[in-house]
This record gives sequence, C-alpha cells and structure tokens, in this order.
Amino acid sequence: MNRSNYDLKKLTKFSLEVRKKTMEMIYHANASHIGSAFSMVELLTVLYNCFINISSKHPADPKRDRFLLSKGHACTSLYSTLAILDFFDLDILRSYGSDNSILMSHVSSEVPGVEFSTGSLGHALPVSLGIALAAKKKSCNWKTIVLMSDGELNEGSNWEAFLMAPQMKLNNLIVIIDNNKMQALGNTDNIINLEPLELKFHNFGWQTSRVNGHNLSEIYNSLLEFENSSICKPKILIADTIKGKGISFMENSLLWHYHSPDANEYEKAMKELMNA
Amino acid sequence: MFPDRFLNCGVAEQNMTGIAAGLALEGYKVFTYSIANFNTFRCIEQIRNDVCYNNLDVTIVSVGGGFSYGNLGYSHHAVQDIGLMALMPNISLLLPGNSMQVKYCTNYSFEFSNPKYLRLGKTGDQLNSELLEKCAVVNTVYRGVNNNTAILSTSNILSVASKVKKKLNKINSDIDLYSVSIIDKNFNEAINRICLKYEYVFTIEEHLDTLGFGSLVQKALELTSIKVITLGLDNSTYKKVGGQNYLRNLSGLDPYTIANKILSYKKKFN
Repeated sequence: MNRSNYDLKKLTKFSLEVRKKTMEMIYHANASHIGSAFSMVELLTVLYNCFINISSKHPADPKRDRFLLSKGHACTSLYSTLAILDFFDLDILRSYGSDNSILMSHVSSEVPGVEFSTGSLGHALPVSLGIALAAKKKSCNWKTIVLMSDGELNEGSNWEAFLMAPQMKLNNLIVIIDNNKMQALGNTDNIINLEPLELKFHNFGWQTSRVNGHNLSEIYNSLLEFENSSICKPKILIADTIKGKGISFMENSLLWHYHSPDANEYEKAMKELMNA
Repeated sequence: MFPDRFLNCGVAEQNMTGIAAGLALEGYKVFTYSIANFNTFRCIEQIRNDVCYNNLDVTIVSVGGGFSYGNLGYSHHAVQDIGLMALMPNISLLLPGNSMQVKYCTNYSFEFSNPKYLRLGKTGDQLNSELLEKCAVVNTVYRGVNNNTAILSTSNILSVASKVKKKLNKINSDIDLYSVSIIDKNFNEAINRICLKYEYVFTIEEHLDTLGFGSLVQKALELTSIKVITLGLDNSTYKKVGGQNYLRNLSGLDPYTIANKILSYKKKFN
C-alpha cells in the first residue's frame, strides 16, 4: 500500500504537479470548478502520499482505506492525483469533458481509485457512515475518509449523519471540510453562516481539529493525531483554505467557481505554475 | 432475534438510505423500513443516486400502501409511490396482494441483489386467501373458460378485486383475475403472455390511476390491440380523511363501483 513519510519538498512538488495537470484538464475541456479543485490540492497531497492505505495496482483491495469525495464537482484535482500516482494512464486526463469519457465531470466510481460517484451534495457522508459501520461489524481496521465542502454543509442530510455518527461510535471515520468560504453564488457566511464550526462539531460529539488547509505539515500532523487517537469519537478536520489557491488571479475569486480559463488566462496561469 | 443486525436511524430517512447504501457497498444485504411515503419520497435522491445508480442490494420496505393509514391524512396516503419507484434504474417492484405473495416477495428480496421496493399493506388488512401458484410475476387467482376480459390487480387491493370478480361472475359477466406482485425484467414478457387472449384488460391499484401500475401494463401491451383500462385513484380525494374502506369508497375503489365501470366500459367499446 502507498504510504510514505512526511517530506515537505516532495509533497510541495506533488501539489504543484496536481495543479498543472488539473489546469490542463479544465482548459482543454472548457470546464468549470477550478476554484473548488484547487482549494483541496494540499489535502489530497497529504492524504494520498502519507495517509490513505491504497494501492494503485489493487485499488479494490478489501483491506484498503476508503476515501470518498463528497464535493464531486471538484473531481479534476482528484483525477490528477490518481493519475500521477499511476491509478490510470496520465493520457486519459485529456479525455475529461469528452463524450463517453470515464472521467465524468462529477467524480465517478468508474475511474480506478474512486470509491463512490457523487454529484449532488450531501450524499457521501451518510454513505460513509454505512461503510464505516461495515468495518466495525467485520472488525476491520481500515479507515473511511470523506472530503466535503463548506457550501455543502448547507444540506440537511449531512446533519442527520453528523448527529448519528457519534452515536454509532464511528471512531474509524474521518471527515475533512475544505473550508474555502465560497460557494456557487457568494461567500458562504453571507448565504448561510456556518461558524462556529469547531464548537458545533465538538458539541455533536466529534473529535475536532482545525488547520491551515494549505500548510502541508499542519495537515499531516492533524491526521496523524487522529490516527493515533484512542478517543472513541468520529473525527473532523476543518481545513481553512482559499478558493483557487495557487494562481494569484484566481484566489478568493467567486468568478472561478464556474468560469473556465480562456487562452490568455490559461497561459498566464501555467506561467505562474511553471515559475512556482 | 438479531439485535446487532438492526439499526434505528431515527427520524432521518436520507441518512438511513445513505447508510444502507454504504453497508450494501461493503457486501451487506440491507432492508430499510418505514411508513410508505417516508422511505421513498423523503429520500428519493438517495434511492436514485446512491442505491439504484450503483445497483445495490437494498430493499426499501414500505408499510401502509394506499389508504392503509387513511385516518392520518394526506402525508400518510401512499398513492404515488409505485409510480415514483418505477422510475428508478435497476429496481424491481414487489407489490404483494396477499400473505402468500408477501412470502414470495420476501424470498425474492433474498434471492436477488438489485435494488427492490417492497410495498406492504398494514396488519389487520383483509387478505384474500385464495390459493395462488408459486412465486411468479403474475399469479392466477381465477381463470374461467374463454373469458375475453381480465383484471390485473396489484398490491393490497386484491381483496376488492376478488369481490369485483364475484359480483361479475354472479351476473354472468365472467372475468378472469390475476394478482401481479413482481415488476422486474420479466414483467413485460409475463404480461404479454398472460394477456394475449384477452380483448379487455382492467388494471386495479390503490394508487393514482395514471403513471402507476396500470401505466406499466399499458406500456407492456402497447404493441397489441388489447384495450387496457387503468382503474385507481385520482387526486380529487387528497384532502379527505378516514379509514381505508371509507376512502376507497369515496374514490370509487369499491367492488360495486368497479364492477359497474367494467360493464359500462365494455358496453361502450362494443
């Protein structure tokens, strides 16, 4: 199974590579959601390099950790991550957005390494409760990890699951919130204010942590603490991130939720990534 | 009997269905259970996207089909559920008409691993006890000699359909009666095979008469010249409240009204 020790240089380089591949995919497909895909790159980098037990050669191994991307519209950076790690051929990334591509524009379980298809928000967390419960029933020690967006915390179905998971004593479940504070039509706190997040989850019975979602060592240390914890609670990591992180003119800009880069914007963006 | 196999998910149907999908993904055979509208309408997106899209082994068991909980008001009238569930990919609909078909349908749930919708009545239903054959899409309740008309009944209206048959037989307008309890990939073939010899087929359901069981039968027989008339409810009684028999009578789903409808339709087409 792929898991390596923390190496800042290697992980920084990996994050950059994911952003390059993601930018290429989105530009060539004239696709959306680049802001959402970029805000979670460091989270994916640490997860897939240091934390998730899964083999690119045997992605369906029953002993694997299960990772579910609930914010399925941000699939491009997950697809890039999986391709770079050799879950499938890098060339397939060029088919993104094409007719009959396996790379559906919301994350698809047809893709090797993808656990569950999502597209409508608020689905993966309840499903992950069932998956984590199965692990308990079978006395298996693999983990279930779900990556969600802050905007999708508007969905009531999630809160049914947030209430129930501690009751089920699912200490083998880790939820990560990519808290980039923006959603489709505006800033999250102008639409439905979510704070105080940590206090909410703590009072619901979750073990909570909060990090800078672009600081690789903070992410790593938090996840390690969760892994080594003997507290019998489900775990939630709130990662404060920046929508569009990695390209100066995309950061914190609502435009880049839906907008697809034109040729000039693409050239400027790739130049920044090459010089990073 | 098996407390570790039962999970009370509280009043949270979307989460319950998600959990069911998650367990099924990991190889479990899962049943969700609630009063009919709640584990269907309340969580239809979870049924659609999580269970059916992934073709998972989840059986959605509804109690209280039709007007079983009529006194409790429209929120508890399950009169659109067959139509709703029929739209889902990969699903089999299990609509038993009596206790024997409940047994068949339950066994079916264990035998097959695609998503299933099992629609039950309520305890205390008047269950038809006529002998039916082994588990099949269509069970014969009564078949006469050279009848040109058949009733296809589904789910918990079988006892009423049976009384309709008796009424018509008494006045020498004999009809055949079938109970259709399984709608799966074999449905179209079974319906065509059974109905081939009929000039008239009347479908009966305690459900809207449009876009429900009757519409599925019409679709199955669309390439034939058989006259298919769907009998069921319309939306005119949605604000009415009362026991099951009261609401059936109000909606024209009583044996007397149905028998007269059948006679007048046949007269009209002759």
